[in-house]
Amino acid sequence: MLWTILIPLAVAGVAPWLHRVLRARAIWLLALVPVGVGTALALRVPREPLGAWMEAAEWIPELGITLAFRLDGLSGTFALLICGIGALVLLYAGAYMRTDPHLHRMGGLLLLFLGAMLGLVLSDDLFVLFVFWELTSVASYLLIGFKHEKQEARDAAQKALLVTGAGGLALLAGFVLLHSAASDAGLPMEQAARISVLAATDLSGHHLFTPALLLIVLGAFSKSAQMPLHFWLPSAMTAPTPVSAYLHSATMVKAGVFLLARLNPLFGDSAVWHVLLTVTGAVTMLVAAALAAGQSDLKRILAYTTVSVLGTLTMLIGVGTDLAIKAAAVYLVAHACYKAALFMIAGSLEHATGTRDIRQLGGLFRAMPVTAVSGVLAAFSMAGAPPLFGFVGKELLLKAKLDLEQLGVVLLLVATLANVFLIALALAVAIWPFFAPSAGWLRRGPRSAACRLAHEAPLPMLAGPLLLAIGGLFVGLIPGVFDRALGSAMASAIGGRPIMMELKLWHGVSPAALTVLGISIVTLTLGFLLFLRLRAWLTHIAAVVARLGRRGPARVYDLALTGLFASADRVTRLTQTGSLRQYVRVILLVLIVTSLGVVLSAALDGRPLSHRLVSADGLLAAWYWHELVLVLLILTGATAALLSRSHVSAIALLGVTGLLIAALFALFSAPDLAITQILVEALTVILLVLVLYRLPERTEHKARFADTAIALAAGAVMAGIVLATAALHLPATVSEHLARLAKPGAHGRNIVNVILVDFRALDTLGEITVVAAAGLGVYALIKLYRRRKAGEGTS
Amino acid sequence: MNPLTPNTWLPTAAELRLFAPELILIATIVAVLVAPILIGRRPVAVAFLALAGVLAGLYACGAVAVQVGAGAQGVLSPPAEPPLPPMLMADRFSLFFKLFLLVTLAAIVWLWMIGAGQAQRWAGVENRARPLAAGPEFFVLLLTSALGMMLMVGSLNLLVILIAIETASLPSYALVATDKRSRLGAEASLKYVMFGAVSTAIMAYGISLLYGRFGTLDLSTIAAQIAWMPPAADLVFWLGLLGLGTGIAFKVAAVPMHLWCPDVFEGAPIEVTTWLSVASKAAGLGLLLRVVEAFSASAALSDAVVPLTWAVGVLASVTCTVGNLAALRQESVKRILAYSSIAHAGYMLMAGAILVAASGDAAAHGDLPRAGMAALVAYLLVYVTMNVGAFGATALVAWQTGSDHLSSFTGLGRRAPWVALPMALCLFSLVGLPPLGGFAAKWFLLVALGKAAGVHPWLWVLVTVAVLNTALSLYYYVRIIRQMYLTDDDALPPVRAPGGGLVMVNACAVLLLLLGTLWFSPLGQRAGRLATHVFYSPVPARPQEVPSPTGHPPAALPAEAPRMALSAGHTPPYHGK
Repeated sequence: MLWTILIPLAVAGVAPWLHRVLRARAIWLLALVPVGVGTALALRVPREPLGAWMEAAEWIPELGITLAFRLDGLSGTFALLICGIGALVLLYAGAYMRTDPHLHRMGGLLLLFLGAMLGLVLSDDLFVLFVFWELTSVASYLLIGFKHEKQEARDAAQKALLVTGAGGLALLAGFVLLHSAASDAGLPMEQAARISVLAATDLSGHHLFTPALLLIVLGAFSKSAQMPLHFWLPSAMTAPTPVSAYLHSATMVKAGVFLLARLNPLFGDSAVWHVLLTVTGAVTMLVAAALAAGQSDLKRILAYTTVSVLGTLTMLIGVGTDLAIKAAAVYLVAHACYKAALFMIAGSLEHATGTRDIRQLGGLFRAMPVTAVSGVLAAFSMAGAPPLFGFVGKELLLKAKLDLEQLGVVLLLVATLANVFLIALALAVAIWPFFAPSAGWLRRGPRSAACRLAHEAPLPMLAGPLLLAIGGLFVGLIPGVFDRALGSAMASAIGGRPIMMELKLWHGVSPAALTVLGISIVTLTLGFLLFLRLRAWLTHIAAVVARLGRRGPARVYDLALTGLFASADRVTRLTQTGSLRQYVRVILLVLIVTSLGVVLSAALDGRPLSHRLVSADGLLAAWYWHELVLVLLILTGATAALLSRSHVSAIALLGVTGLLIAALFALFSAPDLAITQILVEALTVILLVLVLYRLPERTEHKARFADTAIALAAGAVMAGIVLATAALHLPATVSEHLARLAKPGAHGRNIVNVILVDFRALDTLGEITVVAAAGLGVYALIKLYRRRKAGEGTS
Repeated sequence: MNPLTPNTWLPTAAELRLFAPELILIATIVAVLVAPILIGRRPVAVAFLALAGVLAGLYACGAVAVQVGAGAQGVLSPPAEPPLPPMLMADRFSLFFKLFLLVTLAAIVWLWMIGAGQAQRWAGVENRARPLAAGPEFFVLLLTSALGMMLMVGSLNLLVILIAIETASLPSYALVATDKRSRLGAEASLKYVMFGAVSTAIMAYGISLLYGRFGTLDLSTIAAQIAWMPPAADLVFWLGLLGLGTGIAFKVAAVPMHLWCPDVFEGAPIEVTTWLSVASKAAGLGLLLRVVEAFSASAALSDAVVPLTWAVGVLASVTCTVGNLAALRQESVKRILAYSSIAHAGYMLMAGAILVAASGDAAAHGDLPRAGMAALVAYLLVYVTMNVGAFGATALVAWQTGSDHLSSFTGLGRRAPWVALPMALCLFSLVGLPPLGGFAAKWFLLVALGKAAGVHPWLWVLVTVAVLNTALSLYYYVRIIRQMYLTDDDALPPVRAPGGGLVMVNACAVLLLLLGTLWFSPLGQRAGRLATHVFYSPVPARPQEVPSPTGHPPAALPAEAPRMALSAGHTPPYHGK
């Protein structure tokens, strides 16, 4: 089965070259790929319920990831939809985008998506599924942004990628949790990610079960555009129409529903699952249907109705009874067929007239009769009118609702209401463009010139809608074809138990069947009535929808994005000022805060902190007045340096402080240290003055008080550290050892000298060499500089 | 044994051979320095010389790895009883990092050579001519900083660590300003020096505190000492450790010691940026792991494990988030990649948090340190590939168009498909999307974090932060991809990239693809095996592993005992006067 995924991906890679050689004919060759792959898979789809063809190869054994694939009723149906509609869409795209200079990319991208989608539905391993899941997101991103000249297209592509990508991460997290739960339940590593194995395991007792469920459902909802994550799908309609027909109605958006169906055997018994899916699905179904009525763009109408149908499917899976599952299976397939057809027809209309605005289109039946026929058939299937496939689906749907006890009535009402909208819209989509007496019914004038010039679409663009629409009629008339070939196997795979499906167009005369038929007729009538009033109401509904949109989740997305940018800006401005002063300030603050943290945690330790510092008594007991004077002088010098207004005086004052410290060293019998200090201090002052001589005069800046505070705090912390260190009882050190050896070993009484010239003579030699080398370098530089100066002087 | 008695210890040839990579590098540095005198200033010839030296070092590194694998004692310390703590080690851990650094170094030299070709091509053109003349000095500095980094991961002696960090840092400061005409470079270099100086000062102070507290410079000895005295209340120990941590954080560019990073990465020539973003971080992380590992065996620290893990975990999370947030709004691709490398340092620090979490009580954690270490090793390997690829592609574009601004990437998918495609793959890999190496790296990291969270449940916070950050980072990486593929301007001419550069970036992309698919499993296995060796092989000659039964603090050791790790290697012969 791996080959059926790899072949489309490989062909996708060479598609641009194929196109370069064969030009427009390449698309026919590309369309052969899904036909071949689909046929190969169709021959192996098991007919019996719960039958499956499995295949597995090792990939990452130590993480328990296997390249495992499963072809059963569910994945088989999806695979056939993907391949069949894929081939039709490829042909359609070839004609639709004949003049597009980027056509060569389109073919390859569509095949890439096709391969990824096949991988998604066929994989039996959670993580392999995730890989393909993300690949479809990426392919979708590139396809939505195909018309990249438009800012709108790029934004829409990004929105879709961010929403589904984030959902994908939730999904991955859910999978990881599920995997670890399954490992805990005693499944071996390589089995714990196998969906087919998980389905047969009861994990509901595990504490990770519910978090995993929530995360996975979140991921599925983002992909399948459930409220409130639906907003990316209507924006995605900026994609070229073949893409919308394929990804955003027939296949990719169903990936979420597929995942829910796939995992239904595992999660189906959980109450959270039931409630979450049913409620979200029902809300999505109703709200999206109402929102659809406020649109005037043909594609956006179709997009919102798609969201509504996805909600219906989610709800049905959530309900989870045998009837509901059957309904979901039938409805899913029926929808894929008619919605793809409708999208392609919308594309044909735009192709012929240059507009998709439903208020502008009209009277096209004469010009485009074949398109019109397929459009009417598909729309009637969407409306659920007999004898089309959609009718079969809707009957089952209503029956499933009636079958429920408590929630049944509510759900039935919701479904009926949503259906009324869908029927009205289906009629609007099918009737207005072809049969409306005159276009421009908003009294903007007579039929637009474009409509008069309209022409029938070329054959490749007719094939798709016509085949799909006629297929819908055929299956509607003889529904047994579907249930025997795929339906039962599909429903059983979703339910995880054998569910026999027997579809009928006419259910005979029984109370239940008559009720369903009655509701059906009522809905159709109401829908028809709404359709008649729709023209008048459209403007009002559109206004309401627009007002709602200002508070909808799309707004939240926008706000979140702007908020994110604002905080990003703030963080950057705060941390990356580019000012060195600020950077040094940060380092000092870090030092202060972390040191204080250490001190505090030590203080909380229980023993009083004073035990760990040199006691104040000891410090204050033995001092002389001249020491005090020195200290006071040092403090005065430092304060004066802080307050001084010019660089030079500040440095001079700092130098004074340094010299006084040297005096302090001398007082405490460390003359060598004092000498070093004096030398270093003098050199530093000279260097600083030399540098500052070239810098602008000192300027006042606002943060002076903050700087003072930071400096004081840093000083305090350092003082504390010194006190803490001084309190240490240091272990015996090398110095005693050296002191003992100085006289007998080196015949010297100055230990420092002895160390330098005797004990560490080699080190000293090395240091001298380094200093000498550096001196030579400096000499060379000076010489070079002089020579250049001289050269400049002469030239 | 008295270290001052006449004792002329010199390492034997067999001992020195284990440090052949460093020695070869030193010889190469000298050769590169002297070569211009002998053959004249021929930068490309010098580059070949440097490359030959690096390759020889790589070969030697491999040979040493085989030797050490066969059980050779990779320690440089004079013979003594009890054995002295080693000044330098050539164990599996350091050899892995040395190999890693040398491979990166070879890639950088290669990148420089490609750039040199571009420089000749664009000679005299405003904005595009690049300084070639500084070639020999460039390589001296580059190789010296590499030497410093190699020493950083090979020692537990605080003084050697300090010297190694300085050896790595000082040339880096100059490297940033290689292009002397670049104002940005000069400014960046100045900031880098100042920041580095302050951090090093703090670290040196911390080291002096540690030395004063324990009377030794050897971290393993310190770890053995605190085994007797619970350090919870030991102010000086913690302050010293804090100073050491500051120095390491500077090298890793962890928040808040990351401030130098974006300025430096933007101002430096792109080869240097690549080098610093990969090697400097890797060496810092290696050092961090060494320190963590030295203390991990010490059960006395188990009280402190939770706060320490918190500290590292918070550091990692903040680093990650700040890096990603700041990257969102950048317009220069180089700067975006700079911030992204801060974020990735955050992810890698998370692996460090696992190691800290798993220290203390070895029995309770079982496989955990191994998993954390393996995750980090795998991450590093993937990280270098992604970054060399992404920076390489950016360099190719910048050299051609004269700017690394986002707008230079407009329509790259058409203008240079074989630069755009590997760039896109590298970026997707940096996000962590399958089926690329970046996914494998993130995967191993998250799995290890998940495992650790089984023991310390609050580590789930880190998992969440990592996942959220991945989502955040998606935005700015995709921004570059979007610029390359979804915008175009037909007026822009094709970008002609040199063949060597194309080979390089595409090789990186292919490697990433392989790492994400066929080599996913081998990557995990190799990393796991390496981690096992690092953690479970007894590092040769680790002294004082077993506390003395009397519970003597080491202060009671005789003064003649080798407390002077400071001078252990260089004790001059004593002679009378």
